[in-house]
Amino acid sequence: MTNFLDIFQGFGVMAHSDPKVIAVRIVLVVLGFALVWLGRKGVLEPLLMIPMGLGMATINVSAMFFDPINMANKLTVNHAAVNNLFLDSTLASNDQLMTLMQIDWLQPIYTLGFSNGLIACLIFIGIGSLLDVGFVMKHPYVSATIALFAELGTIFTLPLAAAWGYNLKDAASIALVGGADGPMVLFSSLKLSPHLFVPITVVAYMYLGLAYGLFPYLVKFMIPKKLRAINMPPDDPSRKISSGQKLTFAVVACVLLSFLFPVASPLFFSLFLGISIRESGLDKFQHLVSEIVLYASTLTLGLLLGILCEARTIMDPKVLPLLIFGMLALTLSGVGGILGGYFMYFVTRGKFNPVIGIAGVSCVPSTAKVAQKCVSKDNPNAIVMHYALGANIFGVITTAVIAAIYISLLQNS
Amino acid sequence: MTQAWLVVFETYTLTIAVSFLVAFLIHMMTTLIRRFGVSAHPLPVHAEEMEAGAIPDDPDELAAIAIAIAMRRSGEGR
Repeated sequence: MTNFLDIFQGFGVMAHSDPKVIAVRIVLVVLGFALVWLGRKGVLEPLLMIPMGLGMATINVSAMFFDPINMANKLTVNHAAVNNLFLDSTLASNDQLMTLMQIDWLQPIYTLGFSNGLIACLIFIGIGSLLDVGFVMKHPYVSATIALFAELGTIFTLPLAAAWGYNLKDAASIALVGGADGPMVLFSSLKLSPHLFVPITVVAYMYLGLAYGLFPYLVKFMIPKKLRAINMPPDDPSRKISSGQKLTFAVVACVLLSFLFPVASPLFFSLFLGISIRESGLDKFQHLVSEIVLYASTLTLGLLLGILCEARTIMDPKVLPLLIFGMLALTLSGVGGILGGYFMYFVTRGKFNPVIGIAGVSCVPSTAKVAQKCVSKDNPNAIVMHYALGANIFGVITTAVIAAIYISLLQNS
Repeated sequence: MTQAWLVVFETYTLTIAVSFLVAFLIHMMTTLIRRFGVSAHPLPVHAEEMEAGAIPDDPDELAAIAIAIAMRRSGEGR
């Protein structure tokens, strides 16, 4: 009679696994359920969390006794080898990769779209096509100042993580969580810490969702009601920025930043390509990148991040402190942004609403919406969105610049 | 540890320089285009000219639209 554990291999794998691995698998399955539930409730970003949670739960119960490389190459099969039919991110050679591309159903997408940063660039094209750079162009210096303050977490988390014991590359990847820009974290960690990019990116995306809930409390804690209610003057109607000006800015900034930082040129190019499509009036392309490319990439990203959260990847002892440093980086950036708001408040002698500072954290457009919501609660007539979006979009540029400098300085160290 | 502080010092200094360079570039570009390119027409299709769509289900999106309308009424973008 066929062994029960051979038919129901989930039980078989569990029975032969280390108790620690079993415990981690169960925790990850529960976490996967929690992500789906929190996504459904709207606490975390559902577009990412539902595929990620389902992927995380499924991959940790889909392990089976399977030795695809040896089997395909007609070598001696290791009957105790545990694998799955989704993908393997730990392959050592191109031969193994070519074999698994024909076996694991997500391996081609991971290899050709994920491990080279393509997915981050596609998301950046989509994001770019949604950005109105006119807000930045109306207040470039104010936006730049706030965005620079809001990089506090991206800067100070690096030495703190290095003091904890991470090497500089890992510490820089973790610090970039403070930039609150998911594709940027993915792209940078792939370049600097490929062995940690999965947990770092998962932590980044989980916290980005949480930031939407956390930052209003930070604003309330740091800014008194009287200052939160300050209204901002409307922009001068005579200073309307035309599509042509925005397109010119996108082209010039793309070329300049790519020239200065070739290591991050795929990101700059993708972002400014999206902006250029938007401002050129290319309706069909606009629809393609802002709807189809962006949503397809988001689905693929969420799904693959979940699938990559396999117990063996997550059991690295370096992973747990990431939860603390990720939160620290994001909180420091929020604090820095508000300090930037206060800086502008004092520079303008009380005419600037310091809540706008939180929008310097470049989670477009979530933090700008947080700023407007916080202000609207205390003064329903106050509108700060035009300044908040400027700081928000400039935040994307400063985070990309910091990522580029970290990669340039540390990639070969 | 010293190296970590050096890296962040160097990074932040360069970021400040590049960010203000970009801000200056934007400032100069908008000034120059306003000065010499007033007759330039906006390109044909702009987000503002798109057809009205269905009312979104997401309350945040709805709030963003309300804000945009409020901005327009307050003189922004005319």
